[in-house]
Amino acid sequence: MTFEEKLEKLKEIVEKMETPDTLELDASLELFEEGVSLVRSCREILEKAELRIQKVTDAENENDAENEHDVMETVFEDG
Amino acid sequence: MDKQLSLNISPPRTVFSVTEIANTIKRIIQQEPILQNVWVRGQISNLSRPNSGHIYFTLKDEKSSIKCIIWKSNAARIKHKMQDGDEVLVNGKINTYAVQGVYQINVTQVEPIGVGSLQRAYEQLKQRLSDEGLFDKQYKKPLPEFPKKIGVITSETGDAIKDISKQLSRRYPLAELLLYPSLVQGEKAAGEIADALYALNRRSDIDLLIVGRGGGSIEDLWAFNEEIVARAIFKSRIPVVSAVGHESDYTISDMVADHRASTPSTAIEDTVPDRLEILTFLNSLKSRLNELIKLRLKGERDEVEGLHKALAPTHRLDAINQLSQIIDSLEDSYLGTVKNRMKEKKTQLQSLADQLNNLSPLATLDRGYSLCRDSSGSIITSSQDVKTGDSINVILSQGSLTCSVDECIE
Repeated sequence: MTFEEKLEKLKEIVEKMETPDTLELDASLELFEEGVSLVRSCREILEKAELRIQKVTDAENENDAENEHDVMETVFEDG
Repeated sequence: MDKQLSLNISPPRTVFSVTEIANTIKRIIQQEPILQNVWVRGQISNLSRPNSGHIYFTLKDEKSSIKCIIWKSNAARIKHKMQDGDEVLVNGKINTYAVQGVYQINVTQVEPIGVGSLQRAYEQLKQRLSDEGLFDKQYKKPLPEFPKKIGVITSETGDAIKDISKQLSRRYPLAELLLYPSLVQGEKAAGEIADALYALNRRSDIDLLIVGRGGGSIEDLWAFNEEIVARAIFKSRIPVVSAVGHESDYTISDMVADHRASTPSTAIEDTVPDRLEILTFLNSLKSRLNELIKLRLKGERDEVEGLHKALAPTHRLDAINQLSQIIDSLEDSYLGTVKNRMKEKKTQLQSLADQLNNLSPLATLDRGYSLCRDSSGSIITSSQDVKTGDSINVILSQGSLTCSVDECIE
């Protein structure tokens, strides 16, 4: 799952849990666990992410994206 | 002889001093309204900027020249960087400088000739594209909520890419940046920018484009006022953000783009979420999850307790409560001295509790029995308690059933 998909799934889970009448207790507990683990995983992704910068070179302008290589991998120091 | 005579009869001469005649000329010039506020076109020469802060130059064309002066107080307001050879329009007032016996233009404004025509080209293109509908809201594509890969068309060495990558790294480093280096000023810039827009549109991995550059003069930003760039932006399948110069610069690119950012770093602020905000949002989701599950568990517990109360014989509960109270009071008043009696009472309580537990209908239910309650929650013990058609609630060991009575058999 991509980050957005995870976030989307998380929102769905909370929405489902908002209407408990339609859920068995077991299902609620499962959703809760899934939700908590999604929160953890999203948070980790956000905290660990580092910007990737690529550059299209002249040769690639003629060719496909496949030829692309990382020109610079920069990490910016910040809070 | 005649000559002599004519000299003798010539009228008496009126002799002026130099200053008097200079003042007369000055007065005549000052009385001519046209000369009080003129725009004069010419080429700058003999430009000089002495320490006084005033600027001196000569404005000339093929045949004539006129001296010009910009007083220090006006000099700071002249935006155009003047150089010898520049074709300019100057605005000012003609006056005389009697010390040198010259007339000159007291200049308050200088405009490069180019800018006037650029400005006209800008207005004309703006009008034409606007008439064609290129700026219409209906064509503005929505920007992705969480861009995955952002294509940036700008100079490789300019401030724009630095600002953009710094901002993106801070706010939302989950998105990747793909820099498409391009000239952003000079004659070739517009063509390169347009080519880059078409090239990036042929790729499938880009979901947002930023075209732009940092601040500069109107000439520096000109590529973003070219039709070829405007058309390429309009045709882009991928949403385009235009980020050119500073807040006050408004280019054709800005108008045709799906979004106009006032500066390159604003382009990032405008288009990607802030990771701190997402983290806050995640925390709020987590708290909500916790609340919901607690609520759910409490609901379950309340239900079980309610069931207990409904099913347990009331007098036994009363007995337990009573005993419990006795023990509390004993503990309070005779602590230590009546330990034995207390122990006795406690044992009594325990046995009552055990008895209650054995009798608990829940244990019975586990063995396959069930309990029926009417709509008011009272236990049904006789077929006479209900009528045909009544809805009754059957409690099983696992869950419950809502049933309707088909027949009452005595």
